[in-house]
Amino acid sequence: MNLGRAKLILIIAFTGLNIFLGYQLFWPDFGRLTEVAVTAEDLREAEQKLAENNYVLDATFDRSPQSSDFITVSPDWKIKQDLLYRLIKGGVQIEETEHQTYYRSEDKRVVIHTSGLLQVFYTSGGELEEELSTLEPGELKGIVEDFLAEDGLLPEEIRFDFFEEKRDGSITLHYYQMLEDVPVFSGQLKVILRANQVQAVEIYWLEPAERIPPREMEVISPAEALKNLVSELGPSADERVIKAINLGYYSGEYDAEKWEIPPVWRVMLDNNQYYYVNAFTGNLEKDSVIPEQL
Amino acid sequence: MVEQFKSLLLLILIGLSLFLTYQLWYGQKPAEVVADDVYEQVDVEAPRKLEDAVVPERIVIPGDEGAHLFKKDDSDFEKIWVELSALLKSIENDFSADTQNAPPEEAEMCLNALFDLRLPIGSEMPWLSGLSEGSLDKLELYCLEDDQWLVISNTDRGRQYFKPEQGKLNQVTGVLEDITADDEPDYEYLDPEIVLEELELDVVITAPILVPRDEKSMNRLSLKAENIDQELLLKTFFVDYNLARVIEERDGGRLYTDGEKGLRLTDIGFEFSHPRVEEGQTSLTYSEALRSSSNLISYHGGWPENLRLEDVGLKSREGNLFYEAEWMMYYNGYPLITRQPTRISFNDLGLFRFTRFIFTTAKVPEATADEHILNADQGQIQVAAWSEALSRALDVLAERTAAPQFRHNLEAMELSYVVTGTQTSPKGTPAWVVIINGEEIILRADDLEVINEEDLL
Repeated sequence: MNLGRAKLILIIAFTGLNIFLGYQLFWPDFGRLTEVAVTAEDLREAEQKLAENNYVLDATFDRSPQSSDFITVSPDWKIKQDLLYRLIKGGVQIEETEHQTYYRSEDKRVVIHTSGLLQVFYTSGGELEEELSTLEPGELKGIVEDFLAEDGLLPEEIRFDFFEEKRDGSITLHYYQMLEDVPVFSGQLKVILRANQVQAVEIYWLEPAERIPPREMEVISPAEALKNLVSELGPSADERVIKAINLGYYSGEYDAEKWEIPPVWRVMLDNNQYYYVNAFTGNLEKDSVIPEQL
Repeated sequence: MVEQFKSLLLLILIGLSLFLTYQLWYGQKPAEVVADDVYEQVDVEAPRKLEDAVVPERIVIPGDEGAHLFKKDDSDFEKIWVELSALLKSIENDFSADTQNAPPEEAEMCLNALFDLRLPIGSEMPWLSGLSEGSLDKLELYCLEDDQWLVISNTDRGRQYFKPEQGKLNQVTGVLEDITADDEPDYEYLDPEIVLEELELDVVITAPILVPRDEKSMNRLSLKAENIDQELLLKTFFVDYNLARVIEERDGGRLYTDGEKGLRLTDIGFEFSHPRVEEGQTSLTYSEALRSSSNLISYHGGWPENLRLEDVGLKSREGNLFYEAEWMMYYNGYPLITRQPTRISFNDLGLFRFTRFIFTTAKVPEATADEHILNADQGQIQVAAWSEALSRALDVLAERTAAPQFRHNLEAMELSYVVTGTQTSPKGTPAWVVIINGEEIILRADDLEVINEEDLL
């Protein structure tokens, strides 16, 4: 047998071996390229269950399998420190209670809660110098964000959520926090406008301490999350429309040093009402499971 | 040229096969494999048998003047209960409600065992298995010369009597004689006349209360919170504890929750809550509830030696029926009272509330162990007399209640330990615990200073 022939046989043998090893190593992910977490049948089942309970699905979602992990967060104090620095520089009255600290300056009243919630009330109103009723939503958002940035109240990774108009004529702009392009729904910012003025700003912002990749797991499908939600809520008296379902992170507020947040499916209904379904367990996220404070 | 290409290709293929083999052997597992691996076998303590779980609250041997009192975790208590328990196991269906079998009037009570936690009897029970299913809350032994009579208070059928053959109770009476032979009775039943004589006060005594006749001393205790394997505990509460997230509280506590149930761990114990299960019902019988209580505490943290089951009762909240079981630690026959009880609530769906705060005596170096117990300067205190304690408790009651108390119902009065101090240095402080008109008053046993509930750990 000559050397060339021997090489050819070895090449064929090793090619076969490599194909076998590659298949063993990657086959779950080969399948995942075409795999979907929500099949047409799953979707039909979910829609049927929603319809039985008087809910209509009017949202699209990613049907591929997704995985996620927990993130550890703590209350963010940077915005508060910057704000307080400016307030104290300008002269401020301070008053403390068990769970809040009040700062009063000429034009603002600031309340900082021990949980990390920051409330800024503009005593004579934060003038926007524009007639709000004439503005398009996009323009209004831009003006408000400029105002916040000027006052040092605009966090970096922020995403606009929705407008809320109330009967008294006030408009609230809702924002949530982003972390590496993933929403952190617990981090929220609200701006309340009335009569061309910013009346109040409420910020609950979180500082991500770490992600926990060893606990990365596949999340439940959006169809499963919707079915769980409807099982939990029960039939609705009036028809409700599900407007959106998004994957992000969420947990209730804790007056704690730091805590882990699970991934959730946020389900948005037609009246801007939100529900958060734990994307690992499928449970509706509630605060009441925590035992009373010792 | 072709040969060179073949050689190069062969080398690449060999290298690739080695790399793939390495990846296959040591490479990372996909996410869903990680998720599947969390269901682990959990090795926990075996539950206690019923005969080890249910014991009398106290055993009293009446004497000519006063009585001998034996309480849980007292060595003599254990000796008597072992014999009594064996006796009850050996009796089939020989009890009768017929008063013909009752002891004659001249017979004297020679033992009285009270069961706050009712003793289950009947088929499939260790005790009195020949009787129909039920429970008893009192057991009395009457003696007249060489004859004895057993009288039980069956919670369903009232008093029942049994006259055993002569000699059947020799084991029990033998132990009683051994224990009481050299000692004078050290306790006496409190009655309104004695109180009137000592304090010149009219007090209604609503339950049998035994108080020390003579001077008594107790040790101040150095305690420590029980050491629980937290990882094991998490595995027992969360089937897949990878799904539980952690909240680190400012006071150092750690809270675990999976969105459905919550477990808060502190330096001295834990609290668990599962609200969804709370909405269930229960169909368990009393004896099944006793077994479930034993299973649950053994599974979630274990059942330490000196921890005694105090109560198992059917409760109702918002139309939901459930069982509540409570335990207490004992030291030398005295209970260790904590602010938060060790208590579970459960129904047919499972456990939905659990608070566990257990303290044990800190280890004293062997060389000084005896000194620690005996040397008054190091830890022993003289207990104030019951009359002083009762008088002080009545004063405290008057201070606490705005309206004048015209009638004083004395519901309980006993010596105990209350757990005080700090989380890092808990102490067992001897105390008089007095309940008058439903108000619990805790007084330091030596100087009768009031210990408020918020001072307890």
